[in-house]
Amino acid sequence: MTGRRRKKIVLLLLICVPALLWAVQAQAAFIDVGLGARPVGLGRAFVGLADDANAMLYNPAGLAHLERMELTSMYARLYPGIEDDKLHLGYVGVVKPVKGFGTLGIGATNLWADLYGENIFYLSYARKMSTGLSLGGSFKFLRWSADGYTDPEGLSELGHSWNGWTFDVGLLYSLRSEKLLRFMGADGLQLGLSVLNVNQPSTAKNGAEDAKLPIGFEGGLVYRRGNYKGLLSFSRRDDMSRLHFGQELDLLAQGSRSGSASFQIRAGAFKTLSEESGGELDFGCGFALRNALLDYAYVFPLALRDVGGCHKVSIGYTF
Amino acid sequence: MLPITRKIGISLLALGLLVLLCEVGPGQAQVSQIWTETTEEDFASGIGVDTISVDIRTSPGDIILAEPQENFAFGKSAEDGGDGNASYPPRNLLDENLATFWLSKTQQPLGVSIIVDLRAERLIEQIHILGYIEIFRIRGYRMSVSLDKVKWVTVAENPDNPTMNVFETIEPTVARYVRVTIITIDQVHAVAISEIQVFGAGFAAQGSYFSEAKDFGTLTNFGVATWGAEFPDPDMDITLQFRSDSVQVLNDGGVLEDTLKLANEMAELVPGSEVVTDESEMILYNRGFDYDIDYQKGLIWRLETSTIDSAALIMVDYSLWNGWSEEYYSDPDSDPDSTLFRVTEPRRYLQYRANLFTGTINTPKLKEISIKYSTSSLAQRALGTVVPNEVPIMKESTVTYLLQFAFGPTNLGVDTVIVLTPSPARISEIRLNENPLTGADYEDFSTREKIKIGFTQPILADSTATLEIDFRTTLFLSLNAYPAQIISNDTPDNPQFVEQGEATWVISTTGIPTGPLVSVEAKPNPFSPNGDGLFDEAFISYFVAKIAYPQPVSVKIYNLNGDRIRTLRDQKDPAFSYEIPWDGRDDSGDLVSPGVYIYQVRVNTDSGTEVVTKTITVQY
Repeated sequence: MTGRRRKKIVLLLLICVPALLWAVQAQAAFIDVGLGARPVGLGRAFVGLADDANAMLYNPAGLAHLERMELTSMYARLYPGIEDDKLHLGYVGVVKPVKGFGTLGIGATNLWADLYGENIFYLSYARKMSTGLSLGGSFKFLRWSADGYTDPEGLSELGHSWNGWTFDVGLLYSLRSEKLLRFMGADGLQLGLSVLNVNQPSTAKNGAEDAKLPIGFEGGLVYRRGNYKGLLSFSRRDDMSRLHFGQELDLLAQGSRSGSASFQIRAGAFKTLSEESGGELDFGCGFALRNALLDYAYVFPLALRDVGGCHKVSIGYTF
Repeated sequence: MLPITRKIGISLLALGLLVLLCEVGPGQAQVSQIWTETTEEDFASGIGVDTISVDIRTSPGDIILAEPQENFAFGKSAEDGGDGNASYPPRNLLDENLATFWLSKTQQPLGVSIIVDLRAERLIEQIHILGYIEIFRIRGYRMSVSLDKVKWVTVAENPDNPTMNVFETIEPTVARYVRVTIITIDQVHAVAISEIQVFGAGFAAQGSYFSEAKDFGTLTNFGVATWGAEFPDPDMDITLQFRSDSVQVLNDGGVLEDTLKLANEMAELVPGSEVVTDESEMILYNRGFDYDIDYQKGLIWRLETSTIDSAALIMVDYSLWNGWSEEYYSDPDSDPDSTLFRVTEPRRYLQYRANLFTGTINTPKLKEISIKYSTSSLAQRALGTVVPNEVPIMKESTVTYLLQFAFGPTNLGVDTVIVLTPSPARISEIRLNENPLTGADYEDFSTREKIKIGFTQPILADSTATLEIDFRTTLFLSLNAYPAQIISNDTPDNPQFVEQGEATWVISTTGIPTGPLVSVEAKPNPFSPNGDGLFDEAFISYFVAKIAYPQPVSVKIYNLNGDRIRTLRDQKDPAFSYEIPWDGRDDSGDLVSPGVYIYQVRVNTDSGTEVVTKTITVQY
């Protein structure tokens, strides 16, 4: 890929940003509720980093940089203080680099409550394009189902379910300018962009316009110096604009996560940019020993504080 | 400030004696009358009972606040910005006690300021600083005043003060805050000040005028009070309160000597009291009492004479009187002010109390007060009672409201009964003297807030009658009161308030929940707002219990990230059962997409916030 084409792609993605900002509809199905204990610990500002198997969820282009096969998973119970219901969130994913071809990934998420459940199945592919640039995409199969209801008079409606599909595309670009890196005092600077739910399917059984899964956009930057990473991103998902911020400090190993042992601490936050909206403060840590990975994040919600924060735990393995 | 002057909208009636207004009803004459008080003499005659910081002589015919030449700073508040010694706080400056003082924290209090808040705007003419000990005197000071604590005007300055006590007379200035700044120190001594005093013109910030007990001659049904007031500035108010009773009259008229003899006998019975004759006014007061205290606690005597030859001694035991009514406020939009006031009735005597407030250097004026009344009461006595006095909370119960009437020959009878209900009530049966009434006997005009029954024939009997109203209701408060009033078609504007019977008109509830928010649920759940007519709307229902007054209640819908997408309710609500519909749309009117949402019901009470958070599923 030539430098000119590369610039065109970046330009195209940047043009998408303002176009995404005007639509406003309340979205609940397939909403991003924070998957992966490590991205969550980083305030979900993961789009510019995307350096582990969670990349599938945030920016599939990041998969291109993985050198080993990796398995990851996560479980969380959201808002434990909610009465008469339990909201569970789970994720499993596997990625495998194939020499000379790129990286493949498959994954599945599951959100389930007493009366409702939804899944997203991911099929992702990414490859390095030229020095510093990689591209990726995910095909997503979506499904939700809900219970029926019968009122005391015997009037009843059966439960509905819906299946559909959409796809995401992403880009990751390492800035190589020595001048810039020196100016910033950085060992590395990386830019990530992703566009989500590109075809915007309606998630209603009757195809209602209002239930369209809105197109999403994330753009972010990573600053790396020594064992420190600082992340900043802007996202427009579920028709909500958010600012994200995260940082990670590697206390044992330098740089790479797949060293023989590493311990990281993380802190992050995001805030939805509208009146009376949500946001989070996130704190996390990660531990890797040989091939096993364990990540933890504590989520302190800025809205709905009465129902409490939640713990998110990921277990993974590199082969 | 723009003066707001309220005209007196009612004509001033000639020299304030009893004026009769005739209202000729069917077969009735002279049922409604007006009593008016406007003149200096009227208001002045009431001074004997009790009066606090009001003046009725410098503005004849008006009740105004008094102009006390007092220290405005006394008992108000002061601050020193933390530059004082904590053991000698700035409040010592305002206690009119030379033994207490304020002390600077250090020996270098240069620039330290003390700000006194007079709590109202005053016309300030003098500022005094009284020292504690000569060597700790203030050696140089600047005095400034302010209306807002932001913009200060320097009114006096002396960088070289030789005296312990400072008496500055300043250009008269309107201000609320007075600041004294230390501008000279001797580096060796701290500064100690006993008092800061502020003097000037103006009126007391508040005062109350208590009328004498007006004798209406017979059992009276009091109705509407109308009063004319004048407010030179917006930051003022006048409120009126009333109370009624039938006082004991020991000697109604008679020759002066007899009255005086009786008064002296009474005085002997009460230690510390004596009878004093005021020759100039021909009024005898018992001055042996502190009126201020005694009108609250018990005996007040008033000796009254209209001529030298005859006098009446009236003993009023105010401790046995019914309590003061609620305060009725002057309404800026109504001129004159007018309100149906609530006192126990029928009664023979009425007393009113005018409370005046000002936040400026001016005083409000009460110019006139009229009371519309009817000496033909509906019943001599009307007692209201509920049975039972205890029911379970939040469960439907059957309650009987019992009204016991005693009638005399001049009574008008009862055409309408109104019972205020804390929860909506549904009438199931009405009995008069134990005989059930049929639909032809009455009409039910009840609403959520009250039971209202109109009778085809007035309830009137030779001696007594008993009306029982059975109704079903669900209660949400721990205490539920059922005050009532009765109305005659002859005096429709003057209802008679029912008295509470001995067994009370209060129902207390059992099984009270710990919090104010109970049984929060959403139905149907899931629901499908797809317009097919089946479960297109969900209802979030809950009970608000235990709050005596409306409190802020909100019902909001959130997505799983905590972003609020819909506010269904956000207002002050009373204790009640609620069912709030949600049409599945967000705040901008778009249908939300299928999925699981979080709804939160929140009640803020004085003792804290109660929140219930649950989920609701939308599918379509």
